Amino acid sequence: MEFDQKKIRNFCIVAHIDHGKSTLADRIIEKTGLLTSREMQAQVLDNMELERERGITIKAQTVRIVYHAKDGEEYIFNLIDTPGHVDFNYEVSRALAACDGAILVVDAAQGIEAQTLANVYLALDHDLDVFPVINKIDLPSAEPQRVKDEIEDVIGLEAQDAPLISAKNGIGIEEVLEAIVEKIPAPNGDPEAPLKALIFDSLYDSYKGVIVFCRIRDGRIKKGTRVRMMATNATAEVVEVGYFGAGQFIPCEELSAGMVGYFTASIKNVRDTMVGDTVTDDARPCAEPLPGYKKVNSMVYCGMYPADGAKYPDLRDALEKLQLNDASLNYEPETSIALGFGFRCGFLGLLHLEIIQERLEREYNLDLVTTAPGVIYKVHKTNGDVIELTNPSNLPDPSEIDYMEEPIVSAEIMVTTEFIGPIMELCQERRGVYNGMEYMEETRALLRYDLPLNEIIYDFFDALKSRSRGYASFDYELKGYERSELVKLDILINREEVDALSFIVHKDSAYERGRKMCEKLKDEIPRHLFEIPIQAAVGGKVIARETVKAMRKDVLAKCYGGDITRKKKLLEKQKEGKKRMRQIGNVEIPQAAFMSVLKLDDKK
Amino acid sequence: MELYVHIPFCVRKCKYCDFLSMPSDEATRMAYAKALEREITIRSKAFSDVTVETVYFGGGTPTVLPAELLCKLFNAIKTSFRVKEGAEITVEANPKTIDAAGLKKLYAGGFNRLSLGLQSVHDKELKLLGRIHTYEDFLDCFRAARAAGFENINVDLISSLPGQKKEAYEESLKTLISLRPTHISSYSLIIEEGTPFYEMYHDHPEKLPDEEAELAMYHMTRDVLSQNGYKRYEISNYCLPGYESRHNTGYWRRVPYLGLGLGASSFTDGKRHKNDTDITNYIKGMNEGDGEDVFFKEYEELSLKDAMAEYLFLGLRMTTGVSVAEFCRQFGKELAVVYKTEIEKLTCEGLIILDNAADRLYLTDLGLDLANYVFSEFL
Repeated sequence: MEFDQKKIRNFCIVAHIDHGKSTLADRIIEKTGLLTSREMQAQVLDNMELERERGITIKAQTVRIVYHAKDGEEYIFNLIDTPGHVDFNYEVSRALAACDGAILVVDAAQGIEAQTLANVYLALDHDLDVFPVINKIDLPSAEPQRVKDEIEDVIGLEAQDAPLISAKNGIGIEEVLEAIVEKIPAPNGDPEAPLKALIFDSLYDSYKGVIVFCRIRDGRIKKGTRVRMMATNATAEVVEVGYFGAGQFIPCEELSAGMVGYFTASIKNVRDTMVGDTVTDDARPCAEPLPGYKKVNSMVYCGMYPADGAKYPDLRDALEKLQLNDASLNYEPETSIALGFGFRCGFLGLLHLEIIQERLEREYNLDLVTTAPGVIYKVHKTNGDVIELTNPSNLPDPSEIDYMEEPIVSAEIMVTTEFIGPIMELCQERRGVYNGMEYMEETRALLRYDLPLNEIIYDFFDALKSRSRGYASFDYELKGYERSELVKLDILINREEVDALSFIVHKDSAYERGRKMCEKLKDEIPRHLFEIPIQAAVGGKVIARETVKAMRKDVLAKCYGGDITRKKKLLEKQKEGKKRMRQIGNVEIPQAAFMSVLKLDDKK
Repeated sequence: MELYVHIPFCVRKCKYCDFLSMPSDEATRMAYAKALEREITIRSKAFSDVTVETVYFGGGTPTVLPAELLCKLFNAIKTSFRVKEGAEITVEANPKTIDAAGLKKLYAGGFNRLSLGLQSVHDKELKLLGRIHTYEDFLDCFRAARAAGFENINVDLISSLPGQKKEAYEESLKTLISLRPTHISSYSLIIEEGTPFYEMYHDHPEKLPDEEAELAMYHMTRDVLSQNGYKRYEISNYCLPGYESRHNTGYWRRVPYLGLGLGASSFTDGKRHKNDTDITNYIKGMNEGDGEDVFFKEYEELSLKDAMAEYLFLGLRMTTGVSVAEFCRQFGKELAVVYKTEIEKLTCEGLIILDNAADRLYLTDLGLDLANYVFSEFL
């Protein structure tokens, strides 16, 4: 079926987290009549359990809907959902590249936030036509006029006739639908040109193989087309093409220029269908791929170990399965003296790490021990070699190191003026380099800092929130590598080095970090029959120490009458605690101790 | 076999106590006694040819029931079970709940061992614990018990009370010793969940003696009592020569016992089980049926592994420890083989001694300080 391109609208919704993007998407789907209210789950697009719990979109979801406009015509809307976190910036950019326009949702009470800006600029970079929508106008604290002015002043978008809506209460949705028809341009590809389609997402299905989500720029694709992925050079024969119903795949004859849909081709590995790659017809290829493709690299690494060593094969299988769907997850086997066999895993960011960790634990029932996340350091050796270091244990001997470099990000922090002081202080503590400040309006400012990535992957976001009472928002992108005075901090428990607790830190922060680690470990390690020193050391020199006192008395004096079962339960609990420990030398260390050092609280 | 009879009533619940006990009215007490009598009749049928070596009335506070009624219950036991001549018949009592006349009746009724809850000789501490008696009340009761004929009397103490100094506990201990009871049990206070003390102290450990002070009192109990002729025969139990509690020793030696009454635990045919803990259910179940709704509410069949572990974590509570040969006889396995790793580790840590020549495995002094640590190794 050939559908008039003029009647297609490909768009997405961009917003700061919690400004109501997913709710608006739900209302649009509801109002277009494909779904009844009863069929709607709370939020149709966020279909992963985890996403719903965290209220963020991780994997982009896309839906095709039909709208009967006031002009009497029938329009096809392809609503492409975008992930809502800085860790997934590249995915966002590819999803945007699949669109022709975007709806900017701004909270009527909160106004523009750091992510609003980041996302809107990203959309404008992709030449999308953006129109604003003011959401949550039903809130008592809503100030639509102020927010409209702010959008015009800060972003420079015409906002005076922006629809005033409440996605939650279904107010103003019709107006949004009409605006989509009017303000978002129709696609204009050439259906007769060679196939040129953008991959913006993919999904692994155990029956169909990889389901590739794509936007057709030119040409057409149908069953039997032999396609080539231009960056990976993988080829495959198309088995099925179709479009996205709400929560289901609906096969169709062909997809042609301007359309958004999917194809399957018995592809076994998502790595063959990288997001951002261009799909073309192997028999009649297009001259050049679409711009913007890049290989996504992991930014954050950590060790993941099964709590029960016997579960190592299960962890391997689980990672393998997750990777089928997540080309940005990397892992390779590694061994730790303390934790046994496990994997060094690479992630886009800390959120990505946490999501994978939670999925492994929830969906695959694995009990994990995770080591402190780190970034990739470049170690320049005296012999001229450069090592990309992802595991602190592999740091060469200091005598072989010429110098080291660490990744630096450019960060933008939006904050109300009263908290500028504390936030600047935080950035200073984290070795930030001040790059300037802009006032968005009288009460709000945008701070620009260069920050070392390893200073923000732990708890920067938490610290930011607590020091601004939740008012600061934050966005960053990788800037590059810079030379830095870095040292490896080792932790010794009962005089034995515990490899899984080592990490790389700036030399000026080493003492503070070491002290906090020791304090935390002291609380986590149970008392033994002997005293246990916990030491932090840099290059063999101890810089901090705590002691776990010896256990002196452990007696269940009481008889509990003849209730032996109760007594046994108490002893079993004690025994159970021991089982979940790792033996380092003659010290039993609970799994939790390895995790506790991930969150070394800052001043609250 | 041993018999335990539970009387789940108290005048008022002490603030640290998490045993199954409650205040009661006259009608409930009578109905309970009647149900208990019925349980005695029903349960005895399965044990008609078994000799009962000890009987223990515990609680709660058994003496919340009139002495006549306790005697009547014991009579019912004697009628239904084969109670051995010279058996140890113990009754627990709270000093405030029984007078000289009552004590005489109990002694005349066949009870030959009395267990009195004193806990402290300081009235301030007694008040803090929520006890209903003073030290003076205890003294009156103790003397009356002696006068009534009770020679074998146990007295309970508790150490490590909130705010307690070592000296205060020492005074309790020495004052009690001067009365020369045949048996003394002294426990370190445990803050149990669900008690008022839990609410008061669980989040405020600083209000309790610290570990060093607790350990000092624990050691003082051992030292002062042994200097005064009391032999420590179990972690918390001391006696003059020959006055070990035969009943409690049975628990630690895994002698079978039948628990009668509300929530009472039993160990018969190698299985551990328990009666219903809801008093309404108990009374109704005993009155209207044959106990099928009351018995075996918790039921645990012990595996060989469970039984072997029990043999150790119960037997090692006694200072003489366990017999290696007896282990082999009961389970058909060598103790030193089954627990090779554990025995090596614990010996190395100085917590146990395996003396093959004497046929004993027992805790060292250090092991007695860290008994739970040792026991959990054997699970």
